[in-house]
Amino acid sequence: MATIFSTPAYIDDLDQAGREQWSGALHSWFQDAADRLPTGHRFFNVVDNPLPAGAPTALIPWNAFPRKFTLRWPDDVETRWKTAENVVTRDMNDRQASYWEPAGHGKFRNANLLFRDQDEYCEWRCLRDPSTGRLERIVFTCENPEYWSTLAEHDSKQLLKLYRQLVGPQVAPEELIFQTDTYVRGKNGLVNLRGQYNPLNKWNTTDGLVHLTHPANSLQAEIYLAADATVLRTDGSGAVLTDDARLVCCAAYGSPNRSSDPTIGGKVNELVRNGLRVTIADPVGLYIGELDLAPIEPPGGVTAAECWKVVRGRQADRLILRAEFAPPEGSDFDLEDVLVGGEPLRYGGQLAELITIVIHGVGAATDAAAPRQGCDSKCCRIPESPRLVRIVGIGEACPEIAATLDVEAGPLVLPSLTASIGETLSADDLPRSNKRI
Amino acid sequence: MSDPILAGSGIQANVVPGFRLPYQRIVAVGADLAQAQAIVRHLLPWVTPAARAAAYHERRIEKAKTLRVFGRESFRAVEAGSALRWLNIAVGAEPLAQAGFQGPGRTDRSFGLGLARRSSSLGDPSTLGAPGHKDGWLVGAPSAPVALLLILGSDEAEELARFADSTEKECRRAGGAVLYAETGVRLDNDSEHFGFRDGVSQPGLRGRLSPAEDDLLTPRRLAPDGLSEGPEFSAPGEVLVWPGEFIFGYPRQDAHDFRTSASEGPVDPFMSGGSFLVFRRLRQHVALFRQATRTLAESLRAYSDYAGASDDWLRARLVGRWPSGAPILLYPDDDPGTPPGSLDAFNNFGFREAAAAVTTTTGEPIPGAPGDPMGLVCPLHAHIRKVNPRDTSTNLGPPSQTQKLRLLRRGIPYGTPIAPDAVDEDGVDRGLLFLSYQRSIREQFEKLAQDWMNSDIKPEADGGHDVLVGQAPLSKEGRTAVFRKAAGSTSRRVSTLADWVTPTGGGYFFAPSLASLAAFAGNQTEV
Ligand code: HEM
Repeated sequence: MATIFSTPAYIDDLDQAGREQWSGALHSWFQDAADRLPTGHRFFNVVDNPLPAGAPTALIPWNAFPRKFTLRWPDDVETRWKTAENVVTRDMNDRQASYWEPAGHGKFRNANLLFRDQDEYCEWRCLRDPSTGRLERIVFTCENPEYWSTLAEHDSKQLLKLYRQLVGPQVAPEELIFQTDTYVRGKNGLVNLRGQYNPLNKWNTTDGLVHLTHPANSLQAEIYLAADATVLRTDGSGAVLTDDARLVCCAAYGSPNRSSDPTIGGKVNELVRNGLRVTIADPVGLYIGELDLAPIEPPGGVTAAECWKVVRGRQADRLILRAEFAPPEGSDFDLEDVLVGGEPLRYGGQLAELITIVIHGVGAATDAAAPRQGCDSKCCRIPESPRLVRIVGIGEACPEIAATLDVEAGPLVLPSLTASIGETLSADDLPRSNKRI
Repeated sequence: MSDPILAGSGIQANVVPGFRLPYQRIVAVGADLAQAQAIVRHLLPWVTPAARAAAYHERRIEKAKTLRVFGRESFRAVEAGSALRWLNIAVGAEPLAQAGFQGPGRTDRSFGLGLARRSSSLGDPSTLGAPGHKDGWLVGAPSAPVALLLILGSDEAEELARFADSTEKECRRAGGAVLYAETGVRLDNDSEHFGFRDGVSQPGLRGRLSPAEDDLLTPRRLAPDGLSEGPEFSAPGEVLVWPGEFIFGYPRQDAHDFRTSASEGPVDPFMSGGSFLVFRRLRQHVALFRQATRTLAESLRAYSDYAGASDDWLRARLVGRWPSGAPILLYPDDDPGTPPGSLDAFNNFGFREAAAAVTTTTGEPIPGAPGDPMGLVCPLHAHIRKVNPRDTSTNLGPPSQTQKLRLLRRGIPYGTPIAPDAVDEDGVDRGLLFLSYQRSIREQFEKLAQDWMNSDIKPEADGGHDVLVGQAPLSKEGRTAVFRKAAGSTSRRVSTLADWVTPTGGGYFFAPSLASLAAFAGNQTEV
């Protein structure tokens, strides 16, 4: 029985006080998430409401390679793999990280911080030989940024130690910290993070990988999503919605273009429809569930399993946090000698396509009727790329879509899906961040 | 938008409506480019277009209805004295590229790489010398590349033999080598060698063969439902799909809405009217299947809540249907043997939601079926649920998206059937000449195999592998089937390491339109 929430994959970076701090943070997000729901809701957490024995668990799997790129370039595999490796200030949907810097006269502008455009709760980084450009190692993570912020806040020495372990001894402590005024908007207004941990520091973006960076890849967002998805939704005729795609458009709990959001929401909603109360199982987190090794053929009698090293978390319970793919110590080949699906391994995306990300859901029986709501929103196609959709308010009109459109072409970054980016804003207009602050 | 008009005289017949003939022969030809072009030039007059096959099948089915003959008999009844000689040709990646047609290789990366190189992606054995390893394949091994794949068909065995003889001679005369040739025969009850009826479920294609509104490729056996969204059915359980998911140059399925088409964008004129073809020669070890599934059933019976599970009960769960084709969702306890009316009664179900009872346009009442989102009746690992999750949402998206993963299956069994009660291998090579047409080998056929059949957690989590056809080469326990009695009850897992399906050859090909075949052959036809 959980009296406090465990750390992701039970990892032991933190001392007791640190663990309690993490558990407290998780607890508050679970509560915030539940507070948004109508009374009688079916969302709970395992600390306040311990699970009955034998409560049915539900693994929720999705694919690690961002679906938006596959929708965007259905036939052009190479462009997909290449694009997914970009470190950007705006993602394909023009989303930016919600960090703000002063622009004078009490206004703020986006700080244009870099992040990886990999938004399925899995990010990777390719390490290439600087002289030949050949791929040597790929590192994957699904560690949530909030955990690392907690770690930074509680034990900056441990933070540095882990960075040096995971990235290299060259990491300097001040490089992990915001050196200038940088603001986020939290529950209680603006917070200046100067002097605090910078989750998008260079050792976690351009020069290394430690935890997730894409603005959509936050654990808090996932908890909110799971909570919101426990509300049953009805269409115009009063019928309960059951289709993942229609649910995410109706309830706006995530992005309809991702694999993760509609899948998580749809599964949670299904458990509720099956008469259960639902939560995310302890240890709460996002995990690399598995890498399908069958398509991977290293040379010279080496097996793919020997190249796949779980660095943090554990493989057995589908609780991998960080893993590396590299030739085993002492091998005389590099990754481009490894065949994946019959061709040399040159991009991390080739492996990301074989990775399954999971969260572990869990339910408990209940007799209470689940609350139901109509739709708050709906999906409209994006004129520039009609394979992608965006969510708008239920009463809004969708933009016109040209009848014949070359759906393959188009700019790399789509016009803004989120309002008010790029301009300077006053403090009250800054979007609220999910970041733990 | 009404159904698009398909080029009935340009699309090859095995793409649509399918040969469906009782006798078919697959001939793999090795040739350099000039030889391959010469062969296609000589055989071109024999290539059967969609319209001819569609007209034939329409006559056959009409006749069969009045004479009340079915299956193989119905083919004899149609036009006595004029046995059929149908031919289709598909081309490998190399000759296409050499002839300057780069489109197919660019559009489908897996096609460009070819089946042998992609074999590991499908979970095939990767240890040299192991049964099923590509180097030992009877057809399509890396050492013997296939330039052309010919599919010949007839309603009579002797006629097929004569036709094959002259066609193969033609290939040799042009300098080609017949690397492999094998005849497939449709078995009684249309079953495959494990004894289960095949070919019950296919996607319904939107499309007309002429400007006439009612000249539909897929006959509508259900009246329009009057709805504006959700899947639209041509027959019970048969979802209508836009033809661009299978044939280039036509509207595609929209990812968000079943009924809307998505524009295809500019198509390489060479590819228009063409389709990618997957050929897998899958050897079936029937006695091993019988023994190993008996052992699986025994392990399951060891759990008291499954003490009553018979061997046949378990086998039907691996397929998702009984030998007659009856879905276990409708008939959970026993095989009803024959459908109450037509086979339509065996296809009216989804997995997530209950299917309503319907009446077909011919007045046949079709019973409904309960939903089964948790896989309590039809397990999540059942072959038909793995490869067509129907109305369930999956890791690859909701149903509107997974309908883009369908295949036009054209497979036919080869080899004589094993004795009905045999439990020991008789040494006969028998199995399935698996053939499927699709727009993308990578996004359709391979996704089903790699992402779903070979995974024990996808498309629906906690289900197990497709134990019937899937491969799990790196799993210590082998392929696992998960059974669940009730939402809250403990799941039961049973596993097998027995490989009762062995890949023994195949290839990835492109089946161009007749005009593009002519262009490939070097004829001065505009495409
Ligand atoms: C020896 C190997 C195989 C055997 C014995 C086999 C057997 C069967 C049987 C008995 C059915 C049910 C009949 C029906 O629903 O039409 C079926 C359906 C099907 N099979 Fe296979 N199959 C084999 C290989 C494959 C492969 C390799 C694929 C593709 C990746 C595949 C894809 C399908 C599909 C798409 C369906 C139709 C499911 C539906 O629409 O409900 N099969 N198969």
